[in-house]
Amino acid sequence: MAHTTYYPPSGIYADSFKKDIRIVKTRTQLILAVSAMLLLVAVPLIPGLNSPYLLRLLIGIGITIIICLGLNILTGYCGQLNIGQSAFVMVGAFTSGLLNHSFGWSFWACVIPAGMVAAAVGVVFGIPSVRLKGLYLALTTLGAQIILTWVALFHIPLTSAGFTVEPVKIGSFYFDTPERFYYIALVFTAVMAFAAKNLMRTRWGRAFIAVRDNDRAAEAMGIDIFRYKLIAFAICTFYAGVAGSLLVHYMMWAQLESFTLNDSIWYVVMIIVGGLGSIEGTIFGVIFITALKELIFVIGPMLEGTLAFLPIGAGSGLLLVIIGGVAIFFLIFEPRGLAHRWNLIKAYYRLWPFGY
Amino acid sequence: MRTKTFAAVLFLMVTAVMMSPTSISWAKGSVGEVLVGNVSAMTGPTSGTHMMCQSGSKDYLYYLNEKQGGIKGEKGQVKVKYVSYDSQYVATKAKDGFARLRGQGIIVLTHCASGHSDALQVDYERAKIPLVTGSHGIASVWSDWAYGNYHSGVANMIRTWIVWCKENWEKEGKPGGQLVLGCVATDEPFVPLALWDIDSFVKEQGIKLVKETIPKGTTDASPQLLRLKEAGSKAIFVQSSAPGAVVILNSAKAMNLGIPMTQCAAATLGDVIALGGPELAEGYQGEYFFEPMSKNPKYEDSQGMKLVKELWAKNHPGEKPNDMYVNGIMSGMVIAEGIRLALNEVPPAELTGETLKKYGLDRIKNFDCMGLSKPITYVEDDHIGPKHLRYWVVRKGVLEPVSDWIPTTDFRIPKK
Repeated sequence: MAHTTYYPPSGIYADSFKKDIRIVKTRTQLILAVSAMLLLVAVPLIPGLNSPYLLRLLIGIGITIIICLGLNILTGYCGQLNIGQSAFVMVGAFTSGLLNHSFGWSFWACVIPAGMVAAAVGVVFGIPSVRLKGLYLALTTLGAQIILTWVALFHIPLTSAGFTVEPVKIGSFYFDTPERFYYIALVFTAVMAFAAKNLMRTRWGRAFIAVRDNDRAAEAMGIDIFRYKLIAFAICTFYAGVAGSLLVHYMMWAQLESFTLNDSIWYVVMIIVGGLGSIEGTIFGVIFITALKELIFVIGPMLEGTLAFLPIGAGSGLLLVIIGGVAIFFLIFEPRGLAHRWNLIKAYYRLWPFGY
Repeated sequence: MRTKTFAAVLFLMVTAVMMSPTSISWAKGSVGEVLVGNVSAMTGPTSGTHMMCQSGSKDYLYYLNEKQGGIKGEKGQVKVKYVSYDSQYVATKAKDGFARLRGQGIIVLTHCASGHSDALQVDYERAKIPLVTGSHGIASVWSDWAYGNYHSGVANMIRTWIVWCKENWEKEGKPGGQLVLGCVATDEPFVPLALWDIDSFVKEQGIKLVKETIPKGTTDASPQLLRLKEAGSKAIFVQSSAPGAVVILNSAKAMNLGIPMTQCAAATLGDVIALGGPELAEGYQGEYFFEPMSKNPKYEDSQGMKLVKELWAKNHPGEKPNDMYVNGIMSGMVIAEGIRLALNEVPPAELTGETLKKYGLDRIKNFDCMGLSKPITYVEDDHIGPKHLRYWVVRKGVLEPVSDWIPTTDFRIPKK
């Protein structure tokens, strides 16, 4: 978990609980946060950064951040392992897609029901968490991945075949290009990240952490651990459902093959690399892994073209080796993830020149 | 110190990735050079097939560059530059890849992945970049911008086989009075599509089809095969990729099944021989839309196959032949023919996705890929491709034909 000794900026005192839990504590932080948001808003307008490829990457990162935020709330904050997150993304995606395709509902009418249906399904699969922990619970979420995929494949003809979905629109304005959809992804990512950050400052958030750290002690203090575990499952899968809805309206196509066990594993890797139990870590993890994957995707074919002795596919095949290596590296050398590194960098900056 | 170093390395890596899309102008197509893009799953469960298809199309187009200085039409000549992107068989990655290749300036996209054909449809149609695919999806088979060179839709694999079996049964004088056929399928994603509304078709044909499913990853298909045998199946169709087929063949051999089995086009007999060995594959049949590389050398090669073997020997020295390579070569040939026809009408500088479609691909008629397949003709509302297949059987590790070229059925899963 991303516990790091916290060094507040010089002269900043938390003389009340309210001040202590503030997200933005200094003017510098506020300026940096606003600047970062302005920069992100301006990306599609900046020559060189506004290529459809880069914007698509950023949209993908945004949607994946939402998925991983949910997963980190459940796994990182509440301590309940979930290796079937992709299946819940699929539930949201198909709910939204079918409501749009079959009933003509717009994205705005579909997105909340998609999240709620995913949350309802998530709660069902979360019920075993009252009796099961760790790997045993992980197996039930793996079961969710298999069962939900099987239902979509063999029992719903439309989902097994794939179908078209309308893009997001406001009035007659369609968000059907990367340049336009980027803003939808940005707004949703920002709102969902802010909501997750806030959630951890509430009674629910503190209950999650208590359940994670010692569920018996939490129960002894009066926390209904079954209730809070199910709430964590519901929130986690609600995030997945919303992300699924965004995904299909962005792709304008709903397809079963987009939601695999592989994806679920990737999401777990991302939050481990970023930092379990950290909202910032989730964002770092998604960006880091996505950047690493892209680097390999881009360099792989170039290597194959340059080095004649490499067989076709060798460059891309390196991906699994490198990503696996990165996950092992982080587990051994930096189990608290990139979020911990980020905190160390901040501490170094704040303590300078007295770092030692 | 460690923190600073870590941060610096991280920063450099992220910067390198962020900058890479902006530094791609080197690859922009110039006059006399056109970019052909490929988005395939070079990693993941289908990578073997996709790599071969990519290799085939790339090798053929580069062969033209070397031997003829590129592709020549009446109004000019172009060389081809081939750029690719690994999608991992993930639709969102395929879309990212298409955006990247489009940014580089491709005028045509190629691949062999039905899922990608569908997921990318809105992208290539909007970009007005034609797709030459070795595998139509159920939506792309309706697209005006997708051009196929393989099977005529996933649902026609078993339909065509049923028609073939029925014809043979009728020639034999309808023994038994009722034709009973069996189908054993794995629970792979393409299977429900391959069996789409098959009951109606079976009813039309007046035969009985018994269906069995085996879970992917199982090691024994004996119960399913036993049930098919007890139902009186005269022949069995295997809807599976190569690993599933090997499990089914192993079980059939162990129980001495004695019913002819036929592999669907999702895998080649060459794949099955490579995985299970020639002894296990002995007598196993399969459907091919092109001339297979692994056929018995006693049969004469077409001009196309001679070239395929030459390119294989050059680019894959020491490797065993792979039938899907032919599929890739055919994609390359269709692209080259389209570019050649287009260059008869427009100079290289005006060669775009639109002009390639209008003056090239839409005008391809009776193009038989140097004898590798039955002639391909693209007309409005029909970009399916060869629409003929041939059944082959494994004999002593090589393939021998058991049918002539026969037309495939023309069923299309309804447009979504």
